[in-house]
Amino acid sequence: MNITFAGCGFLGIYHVGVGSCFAVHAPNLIQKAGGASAGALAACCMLCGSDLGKITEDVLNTATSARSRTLGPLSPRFDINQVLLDGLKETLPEDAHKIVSGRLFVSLTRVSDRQNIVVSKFTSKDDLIQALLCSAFVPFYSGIVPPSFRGTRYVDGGISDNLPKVSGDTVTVSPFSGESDICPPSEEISRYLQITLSNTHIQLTASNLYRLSRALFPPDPKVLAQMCKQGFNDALAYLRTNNLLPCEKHKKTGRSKSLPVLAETGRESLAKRTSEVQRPTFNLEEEEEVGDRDPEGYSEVSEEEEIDLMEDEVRMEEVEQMKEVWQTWESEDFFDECEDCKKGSECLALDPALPPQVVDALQASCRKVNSGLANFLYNSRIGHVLQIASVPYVLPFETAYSLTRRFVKWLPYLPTNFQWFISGLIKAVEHIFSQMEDNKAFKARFSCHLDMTEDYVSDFAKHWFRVTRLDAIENRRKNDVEALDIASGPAATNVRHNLNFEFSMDFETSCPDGSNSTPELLRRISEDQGVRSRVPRIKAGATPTVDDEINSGMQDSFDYTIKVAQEMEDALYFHYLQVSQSVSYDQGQSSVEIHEI
Amino acid sequence: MSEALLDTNRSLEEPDRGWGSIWRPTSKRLLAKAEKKILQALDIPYSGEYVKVNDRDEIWTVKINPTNSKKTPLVLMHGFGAGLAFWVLNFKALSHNRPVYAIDTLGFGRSSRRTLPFDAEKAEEAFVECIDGWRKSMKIDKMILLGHSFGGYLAFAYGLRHPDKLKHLILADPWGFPNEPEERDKLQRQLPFWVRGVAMLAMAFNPLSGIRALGPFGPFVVRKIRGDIQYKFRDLFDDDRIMNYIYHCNAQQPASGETAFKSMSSFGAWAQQPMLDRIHLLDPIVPLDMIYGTKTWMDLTIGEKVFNIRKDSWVKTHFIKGAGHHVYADKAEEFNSVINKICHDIN
Repeated sequence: MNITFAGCGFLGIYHVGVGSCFAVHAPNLIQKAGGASAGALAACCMLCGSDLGKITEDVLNTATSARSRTLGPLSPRFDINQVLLDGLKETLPEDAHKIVSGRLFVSLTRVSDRQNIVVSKFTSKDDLIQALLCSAFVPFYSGIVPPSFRGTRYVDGGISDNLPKVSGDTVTVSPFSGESDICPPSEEISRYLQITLSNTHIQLTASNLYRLSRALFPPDPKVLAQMCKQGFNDALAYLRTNNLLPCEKHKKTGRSKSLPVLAETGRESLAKRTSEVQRPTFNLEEEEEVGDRDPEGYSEVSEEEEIDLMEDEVRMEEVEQMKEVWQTWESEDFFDECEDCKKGSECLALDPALPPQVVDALQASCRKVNSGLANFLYNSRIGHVLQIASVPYVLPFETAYSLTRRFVKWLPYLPTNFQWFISGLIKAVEHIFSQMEDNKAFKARFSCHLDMTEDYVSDFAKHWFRVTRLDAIENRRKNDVEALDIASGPAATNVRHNLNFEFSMDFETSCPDGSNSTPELLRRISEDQGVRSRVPRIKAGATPTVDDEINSGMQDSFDYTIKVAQEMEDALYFHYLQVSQSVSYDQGQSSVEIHEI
Repeated sequence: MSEALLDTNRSLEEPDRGWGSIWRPTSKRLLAKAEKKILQALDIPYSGEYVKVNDRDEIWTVKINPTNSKKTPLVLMHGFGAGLAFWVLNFKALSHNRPVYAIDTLGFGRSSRRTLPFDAEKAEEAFVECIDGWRKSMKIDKMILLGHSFGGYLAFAYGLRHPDKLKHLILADPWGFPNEPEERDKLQRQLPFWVRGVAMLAMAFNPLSGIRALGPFGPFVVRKIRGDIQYKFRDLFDDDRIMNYIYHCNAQQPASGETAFKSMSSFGAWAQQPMLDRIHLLDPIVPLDMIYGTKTWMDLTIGEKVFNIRKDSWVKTHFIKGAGHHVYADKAEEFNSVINKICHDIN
């Protein structure tokens, strides 16, 4: 059975309850476990078989020490990373990495690209602890500089994937009521609405809102004890409804056919089981790759592949042994078919009780908070008021003290952290610049306006007014304006035809290559105009229409547009000056505007 | 593949009133587009039309395989906050040898959104009579009614009033069956004051009014908080078109269906008039099948309770392993085969 725990901060006590239920009623049932943040810690402790009482005590102590400060866990003297580090070093056995390698799946979020990474192989105990610390690092809550694991910076896995999938069918555990396999039932208002936060179903209920608010700001130990019990009960209910509670005889083996993964019966399931066992070795790399959703990022993790290859041989042997064991099992080894197990499922449910060491730890913690004169004063209303009133005086000293302490501790890492920070800054600046470069779009508007007035002047005048304007700049010249006045004089009297041609074109390019840069473009236009005014190319054929040009798919070629416009003008020029018998006057106006945005 | 978009221009062009329409990036046309984009993923022909049920209301209906009229038609009713396109994974398999009609419930999706009475009983009646009006307009004599969640509640309410029109009643993860537990008040009193305050404040508004209030940020938020729905439909399309559809379904004003749902529910979780109290009123001739996902947050013992009450008639509960509340999408194949088997056994 594979299980995955949701990250949930101090509500991790719920996972302790779930874990103790498995430890008491169905040990050896869990094959692989995954999780993010507090869930990863719970999964690791569960696989290592750590003392439940000790874990409960640690969690509650952390919670009480977080509560004892005026600003709670935000108080500068409360260093959650240090607390976790000390706790893990003490709790985990020396060979923890060997026990959990390939079985524990820790969800991490890479800082550089916010991708989710699932790590499942650990070379040493420190390596494992570092991975867990990274997974439990809540940005800005735990600190500013994220910790690094194997040279890469990671933060809380709960940001990208709060319930990492261990295999196809994974039992999900979440302290928030929703659609997880093991979660508190919802008896609250408005459970109709649900949300999904990084893969975790959460119903929008009042109690879930309360739980969310308490994830990082721990509640009273009494409430935590209740949550622990809730976890135990929910896990038991799950085991019971799925017939996973073995009897005393089968507790040690923990083999079940009715695991969610395998629904078949008889020999078939046995055969499949064998292949299931084989899978871990051959699929380990693959699974990790599946977890690692960013194929590029894998290159970093692949440094470990060498070690894996070495370890592979050892694992092969292990698997061969395991395979033999699985194959030799008879159907009576599976507790599904054991009558005692079935009875056990029914009996156990009547008396759900947490293991004694957990109960002791919970009670001790509750007592500690409420006993003694100091605690009494501390918990009274006056105490609260005094505490809050003293914040402005105490805080500066506390901050100064803890900052100095942290700085001293941080000093050895200063160069690397500083380097990381600077390189990050440079990358960010580069990114901004590249964005600016990318967004530099060229917008060009090309418009051509052509008004033609064709008129007839009586023959005796024998005078042809011809005014040709090729572009707007020339229009502004004074002598031309005079010429225009002469031309428009008779035109006003004998108008035959009035023609207006107009076409305009907008085009935008986001990736200008060298030749299309603004100065280049402007230079070309001026060149083109120069050429045109010097050597008017006359083409008597049909003028190319604008439609043709657009349909040909070449509208993005600026040069082509200019060329076509020029040809059109040339043709008109030719038509009215050389061929037509009537007096013609045309006024061409073409403009090119280029904006850089 | 014909989509009767053109026939429905009249309804589409009704303007959205108020300043809210500027703030929210939605319109009937956008909803129609979003729906079309989902249904296009089907590789079977379908047609959609507005069916006039009375002088005020029109129900948006999608028909699949309507020519095969010899068999009893299957009518699909979606749940709260959804629309008929949510059945996209089921259309093909279910319409294999019978006509399938999917409707947008009154006040939801693309159907009319007139103001419904703010009273549990009257609102329920309005919904039921609307379904019956639709049935008459469609000239259906008997039908198999399949409702999910809130649609399941309405389907059951329909069965209570018009049992002779139902060949079979199928409820998928229906809402509104259990009674309100007595200890709810006690549980709530344990919570801190501010949490209760926030909850009460939230209760004062329509359930999804937050999405509408967010305006231009609405689509983004919907995508963020219900990413799991997109994952459910990954086999058919790998983009966020379903999220877009959800947004447009629920961002439309007036949200009359939502208001009616609010009036019929008590604290959003239980029905004002729970169906468990009214099961004995259902005519024994109506066969009833219930389908639950094992991971759902609904009470899984309801099937057994119904079975115990309706001793003389057909009641069967199916559990689909690994499926959540959206059982028809989580395990679409299993769901379709269960429904097809039920339908097959009837004829």
